[in-house]
Order: sequence, then C-alpha cells, then structure tokens
Amino acid sequence: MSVSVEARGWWGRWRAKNEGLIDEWRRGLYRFRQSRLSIVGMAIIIFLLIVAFTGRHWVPYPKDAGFTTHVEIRLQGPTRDNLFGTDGYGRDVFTRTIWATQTSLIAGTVIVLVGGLIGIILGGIAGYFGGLVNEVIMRITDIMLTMPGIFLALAITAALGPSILHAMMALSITWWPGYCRLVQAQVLSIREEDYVEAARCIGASPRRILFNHILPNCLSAIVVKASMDFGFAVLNLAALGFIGVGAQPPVPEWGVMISKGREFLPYGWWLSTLPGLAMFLTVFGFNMLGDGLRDIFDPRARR
Amino acid sequence: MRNELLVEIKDLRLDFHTFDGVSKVLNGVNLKIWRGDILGLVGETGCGKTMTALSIPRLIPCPPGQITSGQVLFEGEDVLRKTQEEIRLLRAKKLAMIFQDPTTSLNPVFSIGDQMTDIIGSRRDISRASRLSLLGGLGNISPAIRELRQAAKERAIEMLQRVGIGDAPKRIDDYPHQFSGGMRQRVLIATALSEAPSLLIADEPTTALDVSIQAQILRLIEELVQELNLSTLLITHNLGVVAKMCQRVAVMYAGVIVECGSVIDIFKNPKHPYTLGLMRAIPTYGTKRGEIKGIPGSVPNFLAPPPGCRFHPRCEHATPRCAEEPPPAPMEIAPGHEVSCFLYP
Amino acid sequence: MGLRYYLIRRLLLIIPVLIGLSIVTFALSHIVPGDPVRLAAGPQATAEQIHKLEEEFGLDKPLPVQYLNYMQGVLRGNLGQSMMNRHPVAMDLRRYFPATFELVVVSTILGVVIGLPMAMAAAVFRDKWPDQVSRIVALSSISMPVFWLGMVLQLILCMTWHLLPISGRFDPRVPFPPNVTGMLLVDSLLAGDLHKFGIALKHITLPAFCQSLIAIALITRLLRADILEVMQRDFVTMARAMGLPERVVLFKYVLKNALIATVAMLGFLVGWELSGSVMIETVFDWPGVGLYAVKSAMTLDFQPIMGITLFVGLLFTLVNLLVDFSYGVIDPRIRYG
Repeated sequence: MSVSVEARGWWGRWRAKNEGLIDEWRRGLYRFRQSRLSIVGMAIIIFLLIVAFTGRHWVPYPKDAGFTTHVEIRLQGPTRDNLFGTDGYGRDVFTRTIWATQTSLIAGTVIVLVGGLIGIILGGIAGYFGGLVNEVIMRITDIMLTMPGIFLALAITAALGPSILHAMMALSITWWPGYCRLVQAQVLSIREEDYVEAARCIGASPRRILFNHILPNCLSAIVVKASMDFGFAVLNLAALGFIGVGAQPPVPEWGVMISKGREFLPYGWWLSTLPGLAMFLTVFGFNMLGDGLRDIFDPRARR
Repeated sequence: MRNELLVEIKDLRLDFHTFDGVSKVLNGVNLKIWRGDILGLVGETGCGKTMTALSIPRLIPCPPGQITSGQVLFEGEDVLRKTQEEIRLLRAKKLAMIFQDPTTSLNPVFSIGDQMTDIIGSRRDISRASRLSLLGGLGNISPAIRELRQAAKERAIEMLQRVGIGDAPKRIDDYPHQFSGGMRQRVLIATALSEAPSLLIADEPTTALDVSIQAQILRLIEELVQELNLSTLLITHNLGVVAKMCQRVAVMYAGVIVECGSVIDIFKNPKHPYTLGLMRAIPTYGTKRGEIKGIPGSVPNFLAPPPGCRFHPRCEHATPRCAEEPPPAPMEIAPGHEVSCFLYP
Repeated sequence: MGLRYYLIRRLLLIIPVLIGLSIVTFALSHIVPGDPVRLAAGPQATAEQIHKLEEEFGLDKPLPVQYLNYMQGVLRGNLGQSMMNRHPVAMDLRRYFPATFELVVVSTILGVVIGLPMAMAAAVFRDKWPDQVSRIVALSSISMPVFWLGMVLQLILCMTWHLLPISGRFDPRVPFPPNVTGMLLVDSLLAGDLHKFGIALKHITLPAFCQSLIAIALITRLLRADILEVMQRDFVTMARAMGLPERVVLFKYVLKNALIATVAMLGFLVGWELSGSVMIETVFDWPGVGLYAVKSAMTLDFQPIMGITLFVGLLFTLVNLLVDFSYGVIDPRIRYG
C-alpha cells in the first residue's frame, strides 16, 4: 500500500515522506481498537471532557459553586431537584461536583505540563551535554526523588500557605524529577546512535539536534508517562485538598468536599461518597486511556 | 530387514498468526525417521527446520501458531491428538532435545545440579516429579523422594563425567553462568540423554559455539549416539557436518521437504534443483577463484509465498506448471531416495 | 566481592544526597510566610516573650549558622523540638514510627498475598477472563482515591454494619500489650495474648486493606508482565522438552526469575505506601508518622517538618539499599559473578 512517487499535492507528498510513521500509527490504532478496555476508557474521557467543559452552561445551580447559602434546604439527600443532595450550606452537590471536575482536569493538566516541561528540558540538557552538567542535574534529581512526593508537596504547600495554586506549584515541583530521569536515560542512549552522529557531522547545532532528532524519539515514552501521571496528579491534588493544604473553601474541589463531608457522617453520606465516585471514575477513565496508549506505543510491555 | 518407522510426519501444515498477516511456515512437510537412523535436516535459516523438529514433542507455541492439517506419528501414534499427560510422558521417556543456544537454554537462577536432579527425577518417576522439584528440601521428609533425589543426583554426576566435565561432584552445584559455552552444551547433552531416550533431536547444537569447540561437541554427540543406539534428527545448515555424521539427509526449502535420501545419494546424485544448487555452491578443491555459484534470488516471504512450488522463482528448470500447481508428493526415484518435483513424475 | 564494593559505594553515596535533602527542606521551612513563633506564643504574647522564644529556638542567628547548628544536632540524634507540644522531634518520631511501620508491613504482605496469585492467573490465562479482571482490578486500585475508599468502607462496614472499628489503633479501654517492638500485632503475640491480638487485628484491617491497593495494583501488573516475558525464554522450552510437569515449570522455573524483577519494585512500592499512609492515617486516626506530618504541616511547625522529611528520606534510601542488597542475594549471577 505505498504511495506512488509522483503523488499529487502536498498531502500526497507528505504521506509519501512519512510513510513509516503513518504505518506505525496505523498499527498502533489497530492495537488500540483491539483492546476493548481502552475504547471504554476513551469513551469515558470524552464524556467527561464534554461534561467538564460545557458544565458551566447547564449545571442546575451555577451560583452554588461559590459561596452562597440556602439554609432552608441544607443537608438533604439526593432528590430530583438536587441530584447529589445538598451540603452544609444548602449548596447543590451535583453542581459543585461538575465544577470540581473542570477545576481538577485543568489543574491536573497544568501540573503535568509544567512538571513535565521542566523535567524534559532539564533531562534533555543533562543527557545531551553529559559530564558535569549531567552529574549536577542528576544529583539534584536524586535528592528530590529520595522523598515520596506527597511529603515534599506537603512541606512546600505548608511553607507557601494553603491554596490551590500553591498546591499545584508544589506538585509540579515534585513531578519534574520523574520526567528528568526518564528523558535523561533516553537521551543518553539515543545520543550514541548513528543518525545523531551523522547530524553532528553535518554541523547541526546542539539545539537543533536535541529538538529535531532526539526528543521526538523520546516522545512515546513521555506520552505514556504523562497519561498515567495525569491521574496521579489529580489524585494528589485532591489529597492535598483533603488534608487541608490545597484548595480552600469555597472553591469546589473534590478533596475539600470529601473532607468537609466527613463531619456529617454517617448521616450525610452523599456529601463524601458521590464526589469521590466522580473523582474515581475520572481518574479511572484516564488510566484506562493511558493503558491503551501504552499498548500503542510499547506493545512489548503488555504482550 | 527394514527397521521400523519411528517418526513419520505426514503433510504437516503450520500457520503463524502475526500482526502483518498469516505466515505459512510449514507447507506440507513429509518426513520419515527410521529407528536407528541418523537423519540430517538441512536448509537455509528460516526455512522451517526448527518448527518441524518442535512439532514432534508438540512444543510449537500454539496461540500464535496453528497446525492446520497433517499428522505427526511417533511410534505409530499421532502426537497432535495426545493428551497433555501423554505428551509429558513422551517427552520424559522417549524424546531428548538439544537446542541451539546453551546460554539461554539453562535457567540462570538455579544450579546445574538442581536442574538436572529435577529433570532426571521427573523422567524416572513421573508421579513424584512435582513434589521432588517444588518442595525442595522439605520433600526429603518422604523416603521415596529422598531416594529419588539421591539416585537422580548420582546419575547426574555420572552423566556429567561421561560428557567430559571432570570434577563433576564439585561443579554440580555451580550455576550456569559459571560454565563456558561448550561446557553448558555438554551439560544439556548430559541431561537430555540421561534416561536413554528413543529419539534425539539436536537443533543446530553447535551453531552458537566457537569453531574449535564445535568439533568436540559433535564428536561427543556422535559417540553417545552410537553408544546408546539412538535414533537422531540432526538439524543444521552446515553440509559438512551432515556429510560426516549422518546416514540420511532431508533437504528443506521454505516449509517443504524437497528431497530426501541417503547421504551418498544426495551428495553424489542430487535431483531437486534446489539440492543441485546447494551442492554446486560448495567450493571444492578444484574450484577456481571467482567461480562460486550461488542460487539467484532470495528466500520467499512466508506471508505471501509464491503460488505453486515455492522454489519456482529461483529455479532454472521451472515450467509454467510449477507456478500453478503445488509440487507433487515425494516420489521415490531410487530405493530410499525421494524427490518432490515436477521434473520427476 | 563485587557485591560488597557496590554496597559500600551506595552507602557512601547516601550522605551527599541526605545533606542535599536537608538543605532543601531547611530552605523550604524558612520561606514560611506566617510567623510560627507568634503562633506558638499565642495571641497575648508580648514582644519580649516572643524574643525569648526566638532565642530559645535559635531563630535569631543568621541562616547558615542555624543550619549548621541543626545538622550538628542531627548527627547527635537531636532533631529539634516541636513548637506545638514541646516534645523533642526524635522522641515523637520514635513514638509514631512503629505504627506506620506496622501498617506498611501488613499492607505489603496483604498486597503480595492477593497480588501474586492474581498475577499468575492473569499470566497463565492470558487474554481470558482472569486476565481482564486483574487488569480492571489493577487499574481501579491505582485510580482509587485512597482516602475516599477508606471513608466509604468506614461508612458501610463500621458505621452501618458495625463489623469493624471506625478508627484508631486499639481499643482505648484496653491497655497495650507490653512494649517490645512497638508493633501491636507482634507485641501481643509475643505476650501470648490472643485477645489483644484480635483487637489489634480488627483495627488494622481496614487501613491495611486501603493501603494495600497500590501494592496489589503494582504487583499484579508488573509481575504478570515479568512472568509473560520469562515464559518466552528458551530455558522454559527446554524444561518442557525434557518432560518437566507444567506445574514445576511455572511455580519454580518461571516464578523465581520473574520475582527477581519484582523485588526491584519493592523500594518504589514502599515509597508509595509511605505517601498513602499520610492520607490513610488521617482518615483512620492512625497515630503514625503520616498523621504527625499532617499536623505539623497545618501548624507550620517547621522543626518536625524538617525532622520528618529527613527521616522519611533516610528511610526510603535505606529501603532502596536493602532492595538492592536482596537483589544480589536472590540472583546468583550477581552473587557469584
């Protein structure tokens, strides 16, 4: 199924040039389609994304996402008016859960993006230049990795003051060493390959080599890691919220909602259970997607 | 006068399901091994020799692989229809197999003695094999297991000494990585031949070894085969080894046995065009510089093999018929000499 | 021989890493915008009282000097003092650590007990229903917000059905067994007191189960992948060809090789469980290091924060070292290499 050399138009030429890549993508998609779980994951994600990003427009009580009170209907179980019930201030839990979904999705993306970017750049530099630069950067990475992330995030957030923004910063800071190490290892091995040597011989600048040749090859590993990390970022953010050093009321955030709901157990079960369920489903969907992506990019890992 | 037929493979067809399609690895293999025979199976790398050999103890991995038709008869019974227990019995009592790479064929985390005891013990007393291996030291509580272990270990030491590992009692507790390549192959030979099997299958036993060691190992195999009166299936792509060690030869190409006969017949009087090409390619004393003749073309793609005879694109005697019909079943053109080609109806 | 040098080298490398860690946390705890001294002193404190507090905690000296003083103390075993309850941090850690240790150990054991058979079933029955089920279980376990699960279980099992105690480590009305290891399960067994053992067991069930989820997930997936990979290797075909029963091939030949790779994962696992302990101890009121960390973070009590950070860092590093060491013991290629 090859494209003839005199392919017409830029689309044909692009296809011809990238035939190998296209073939790999076709295989990957085939493997993806094979795994039913991944399809389900994909479906969940798409559903959630739609819900999250259009949420503002159709939630029943948009004002409840902020600080309002409806004392007369406080602490009522799920009814037709309030699908998930109401909380201690009478706010609609369903609205707040949807709002929180959006908040968390954005926050999770930011954490992984920022942490990932810092890590990738540092890792790329360390791996490519080697020597002293490599040693210094890797020692710092080692130091950061000696501690399980949440303790560090806890310390940072405590130092900076509780707020969702600080929690996001703290988590980004705990996240980059993972990417740094991953990219550094990949770069170190790719650097020795012949095509990089060839590029260097032609006189390509280090920046060009790094961005055009080396990093694209690390891409699959990075994407797989990022997709799995997204779930963890969201979970950790909620954990910090739960403890009290993350998002602060009245910002609707899953961890905070669950934590506040604790006070009303066992009567007000809907306050903690339902938002948590939403969080679980979201992270689960993303993890399934990540699993599916891993099937595409690294089939050896599964089969 | 003819010995009995030990192994008969009839029209075996094997497919492998890969991502890129279905690879037709074996395309109607016909093979006969007589009792007491030393049969060499030659062919290029990738022609299906190993798969043919693996079919006898039914070791072909069957999720990707699938046997679509054919029979593999061992002592008259079809191996493909046996139960798991019967196959295990077959492998333990009647068959012995040596693989190509001794480095990866031994389990790196257990000592040689441990592995040999497991295998020899399992061959001697099948019912106690699990307890012997899995319980380890605890199994010694039962006197039967203790005796079995002791007997197996003694036999192991005996066999190791037979294959030329001198200080066997000391080395038996060493780990595989502490042995050299040649010694590891000796260990594997010792293990395989420890309980006098009926058939020895040797899949390129010396390909992965140094040239100097190859001769030693081959000599060892030859001695043991004669001593134990074994029937042997020796797979190799080295015609010199075949000439030296084998009584009969089968030539394989792209999943089919094209010609089969005694060593003298094949070497002196090859009939199939492929065999002719092979024999011509061997440089002899009289070959002048630049005169080595290869066979033009290359091995077919098993995913989309050429129709009809798989060799016809490279054959100088090809006729239009060869491109349409699959080659005929092996025809006996002389006593013991069979060819599968339209040239010899 | 090679093993010993390798270990000594690793031990030596710990030191600069820990120093770096201490510098990082020291720097962190001094970005505190709030004034912990004022917090500790209370709203009625006068300037002089605050000043005295500062002197007492050495907060009036320049930063590098403070750091050096602190490190000197650490080497002597003095991790500073908590400003909230005036206990030495080292003493608090010693008191809280056994609880966390017990939790981590029990949950790891639980993780292995559940995860190992699941991984084997998934590998042997690849792509059939045990495999799919184990995949879903593993994914669910990593996706689960642990504190949420803990609460849901508390709600159902404790508050509604009254099967298990809601929180805490032990029945407050019953005295602890005599303190030998600090781990209640072990101590009660050592004292031969089965009643107390039962109480401790009932209290640890839910927290350990929640904690073990991550272990189950990791072991199931990684062990399964390792088993599948080992099953492709030549020596497995060889063992089968020689007539070994399938049970032996699987449980002896394949498993030992696959476990080697899994052992390496243990260090990572412990780190994750320590993270999880922060939340689980909060939900179940488990008096361990995690809860201590949370309380200190909330009150900006930076001496304990630093102490805990250093301690956890050291612990984690030691665990990794231990894992590397056991790697060498299990894999004969390294031991006799």
